Amino acid sequence: MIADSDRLAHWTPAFFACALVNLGLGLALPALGLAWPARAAAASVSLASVHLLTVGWLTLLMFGALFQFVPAIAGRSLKRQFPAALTPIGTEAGLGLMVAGFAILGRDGAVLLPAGGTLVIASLALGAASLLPALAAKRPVPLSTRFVMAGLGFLLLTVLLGLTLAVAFTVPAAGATLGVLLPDGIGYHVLAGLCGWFTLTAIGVSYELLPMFMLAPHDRGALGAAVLWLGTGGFLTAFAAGIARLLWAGAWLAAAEQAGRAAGGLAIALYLLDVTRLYRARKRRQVELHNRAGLGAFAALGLALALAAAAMVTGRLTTAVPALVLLVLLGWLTGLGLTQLYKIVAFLAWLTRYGGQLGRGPVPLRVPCSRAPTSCAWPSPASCSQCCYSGANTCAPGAPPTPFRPPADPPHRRPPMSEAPPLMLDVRPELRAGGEPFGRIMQAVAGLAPGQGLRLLATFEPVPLYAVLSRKGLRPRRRAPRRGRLGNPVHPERRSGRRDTGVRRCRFGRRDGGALAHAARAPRQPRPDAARADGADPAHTRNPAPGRGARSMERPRAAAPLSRVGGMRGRHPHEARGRRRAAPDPPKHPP
Amino acid sequence: MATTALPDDAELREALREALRDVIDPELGYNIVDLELVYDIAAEGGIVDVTMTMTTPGCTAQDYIVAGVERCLAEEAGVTGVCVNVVWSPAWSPRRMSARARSVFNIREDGA
Repeated sequence: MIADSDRLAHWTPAFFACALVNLGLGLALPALGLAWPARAAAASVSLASVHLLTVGWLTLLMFGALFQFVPAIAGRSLKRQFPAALTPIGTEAGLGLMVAGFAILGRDGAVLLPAGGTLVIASLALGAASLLPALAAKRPVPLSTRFVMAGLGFLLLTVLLGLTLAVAFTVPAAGATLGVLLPDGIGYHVLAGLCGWFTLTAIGVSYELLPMFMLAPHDRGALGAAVLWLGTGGFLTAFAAGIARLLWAGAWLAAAEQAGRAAGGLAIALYLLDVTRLYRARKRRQVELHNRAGLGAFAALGLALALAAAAMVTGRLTTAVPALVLLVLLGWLTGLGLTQLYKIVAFLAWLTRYGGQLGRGPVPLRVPCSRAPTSCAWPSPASCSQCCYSGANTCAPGAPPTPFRPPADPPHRRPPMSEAPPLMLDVRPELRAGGEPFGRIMQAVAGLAPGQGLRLLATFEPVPLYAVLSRKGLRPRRRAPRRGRLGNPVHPERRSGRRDTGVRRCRFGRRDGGALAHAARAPRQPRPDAARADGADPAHTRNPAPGRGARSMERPRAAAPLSRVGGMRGRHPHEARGRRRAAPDPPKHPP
Repeated sequence: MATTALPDDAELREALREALRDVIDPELGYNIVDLELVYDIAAEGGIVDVTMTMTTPGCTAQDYIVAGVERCLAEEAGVTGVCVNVVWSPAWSPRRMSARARSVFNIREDGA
């Protein structure tokens, strides 16, 4: 039943951690002046730096996000989690070999490059293969999933071409036949990678995340479909025509390649238009911090598009390539990646930390760091959550923090209990000894001050008492006290009471999107009659055998239509696994 | 006749609805009742049936919210079983939010 085994991908944080380390390494090389894209002499270090950023940072980031979101979008969990564990390990190892290969490019031993590349391809293929069933599961296939599928197709093209180029570079025997791909093939490798794999996947993920967090319509309509088809078709045409042009000459191939690039550029322009439309159509007026910062990424994409168009028109594309790569890699992709990561990591951490407490009591309302910049320069959990627990509900998203003041009496907040501390009554020793504490309880109730509560510690939930106590003006509650119309609260001790209530958990999700009016419900459980099957007197079973709690009081029920019942994985020890038997109807108790 | 001290059904439904205010949607940071995610609560003989939806179909927090609802209602006295039914129709939209939630989120009132 519990969520984290199904919906939360366990290895996503590992992907993100590796990706961020690679980002640091990939940026360190240019920062130290070792990598100069425009200088031929520093080509090999530049190549190493670019691959650290593309394979190490962006690819692992995308895979981590996909492992988390594809199952959620498809509504089903991945069959096995181990590919998600192997992928970052294999990719990092392969990447290390690749970087070493780049470093010694042109010398002996540079065969490390294709070897590393093969390892990277194998790891990514393993990851993609485990995602494919979930990708294809949901019908009709959502738009964002189509983008991801197109992106993965381009990933395949990119890595295959990259491996071919690496072999051509480093293996002399193959260099003769494959040498025709060099050096222009590198350009198509970049095209398929940056425009195809990264950009299409980023578009797909953004179409999922932006509407979710900004409360904008998920359905992108004809514009979204146009972006998909123009982008995929355009870049594919440009790629295929370009490669074909390297192998065979043909003027029409050059024209096809230009047309493909133009279509791809148009797709990007339409995407930027659609993003503007999305931001305008959002229902949530206050844009969260990370989405505001994400606007910079979209600006970089627009700038890159303009620069590419100008370069193509003036015929100076090759000189503009280093600038374009920087704009796309660092401005658009890294910008989008980091800003969304800002929210994703906080969100997943919140779910991991507080998800299990939902429904038990107050939880911090705000995922930290999603508020105004002034308040979030050095966010601390204390300041972020002080005014934002679910009991208070006073802070608006995006507003600067106000000092915490308990609200007057908001309608959704529970009224506090009375000032007098509740009377604590521990009847557990008496129950364990086989006694009958009813008289003591009634005496204690008679002695309660007006407005005072009674806290009862028992070995089982005293359901029969509720009827009696309600007639005396007490309303039973098992947790947060509540001053209702009926008077003072009663608190059976939480741990033992809950263990023995045998609450029947029943849950079924409607995957077919069943409509409310015709929701089929599980057949109701027949109410158990008070008589036990074996005729034992319920009164005697108040004295449970040591260690068994009140299970002797419980009658096995008919098989319930449970879809899944389970417990948390070791987090809440008093929630046992397996099916629970419901408490029987309490026997009539003499008042 | 009633073996538990609970008031009649309407009061009970109201009480359960109040209790569900402790369950929040992590994506938006507001309780599910004021977001109008809970369509129906029916209680009969200690078994509570909750019909609800999520803000998005691919909600990562879906299982957490459902588990939270189950936990929250199971704590109520007299409740012996909780059934949560997640439906996708009628679809949730920000217009459905309660007035208070709408003001907190500055939901735009215009059009769709």
